[in-house]
Amino acid sequence: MNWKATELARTALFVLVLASMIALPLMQLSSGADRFGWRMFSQVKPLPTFTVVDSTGSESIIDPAAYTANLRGDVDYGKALPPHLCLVVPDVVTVEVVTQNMEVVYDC
Amino acid sequence: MKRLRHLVSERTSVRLPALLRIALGVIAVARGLEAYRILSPLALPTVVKIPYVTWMPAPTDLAILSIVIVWLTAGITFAIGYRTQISGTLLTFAMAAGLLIDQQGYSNHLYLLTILVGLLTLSRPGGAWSFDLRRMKEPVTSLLWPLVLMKVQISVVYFFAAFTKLHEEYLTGRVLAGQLGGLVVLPEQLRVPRILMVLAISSVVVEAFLAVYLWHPEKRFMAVGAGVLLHGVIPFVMQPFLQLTVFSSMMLSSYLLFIPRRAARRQVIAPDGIARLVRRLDVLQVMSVVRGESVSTERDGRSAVDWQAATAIADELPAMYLIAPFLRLPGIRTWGSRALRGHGVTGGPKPNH
Repeated sequence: MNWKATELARTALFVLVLASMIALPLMQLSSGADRFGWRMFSQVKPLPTFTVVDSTGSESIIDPAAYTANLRGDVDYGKALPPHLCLVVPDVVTVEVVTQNMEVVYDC
Repeated sequence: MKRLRHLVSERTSVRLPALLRIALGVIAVARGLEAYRILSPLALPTVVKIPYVTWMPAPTDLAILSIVIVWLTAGITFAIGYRTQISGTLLTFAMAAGLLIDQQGYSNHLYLLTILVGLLTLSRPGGAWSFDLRRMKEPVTSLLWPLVLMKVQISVVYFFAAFTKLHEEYLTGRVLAGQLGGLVVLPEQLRVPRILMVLAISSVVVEAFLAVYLWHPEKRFMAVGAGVLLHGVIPFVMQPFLQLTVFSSMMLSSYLLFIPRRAARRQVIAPDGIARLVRRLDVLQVMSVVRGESVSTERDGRSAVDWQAATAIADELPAMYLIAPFLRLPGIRTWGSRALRGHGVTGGPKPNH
């Protein structure tokens, strides 16, 4: 059975796409990742609350929507936003992040 | 191996890929407009950038604008079938760029749309209802295997959507309670735990059912009906409306892939007016229509008459496939049978199952 080059290429692509269609969501599922796994509307992840403290000790609660492009439950804003707030909020000294389970204070 | 070789070489009518090209092209353009709204804030210095990899440069105004312009232009040219292969490739890459430029650009429906447009492009969908047709010297066909992969992808999405909901928090309705709140707000009396639990379990059952039964030749209409109800409701009771409308339109358009395209066409016998209507609506050319006194249909040894035949025919007409499942509901069935008789259509032979 002699295969033409186009048949081989198409077969390889078919098998590769089919395998990744199934393997990728399985891998994402087992690792608990939220993206690329078709985990749609299956969980609610409340956003953390962010409080910034300035050099006078005054606290203000931050609206994350003002510092994000598209608020999504599958993005870890608790990790990404505090360093950014340190850069863009004037006179900020610390950022307090409160999630459901814990409270973390980032020193700027 | 022999079957795989046959599958990758098999060609099919270009009409279904062409119809999907128009549908997905239009959907991609709508999503492209939304992409600009989502991505453009990334160029602001006050907005956080969350790249997938640290070495990725921060998105600039120019980069975002370029992605969206390519996305919209390629979406339009893909839909009208102008330089279809180039348009489809550019559209796939532009959507992938929008998806990967920042973690905040991700959405499951955009990821799915990118895969579907990419696969559809591989099938060569420019051979019908297109500008490219003017440049083609001989009739062309499409490759079947990318369409098979598109069907598998639809099932995979439904399967994982159902599977990832199999946990207590979702099945008790608590997750749903936090997500309801779109254009239509459910009355307080319906937002009680017992009803939310029933809705949650139903959604899992429907998604699992769709993953399997879209492939079933006889039960496909039930899956299509369930899908219409699911995707018809979701954009109105959840948010964001436009993105969920894009998702619903994409899924419902993709159901066209599951209409059987076999060598043996559906045989349709119908009175003159109905026969002409069916011929006009059979844009996928999956039927052989002849004039007769009654409405009847047959394929693969399965036949149907009267309203049952009308619904089986409607299942395979792109203009009617989404309403066809509901034509079987008791009241509509009775009305339809009467209407056929009222137009002088007499009963045909008994169905042969």
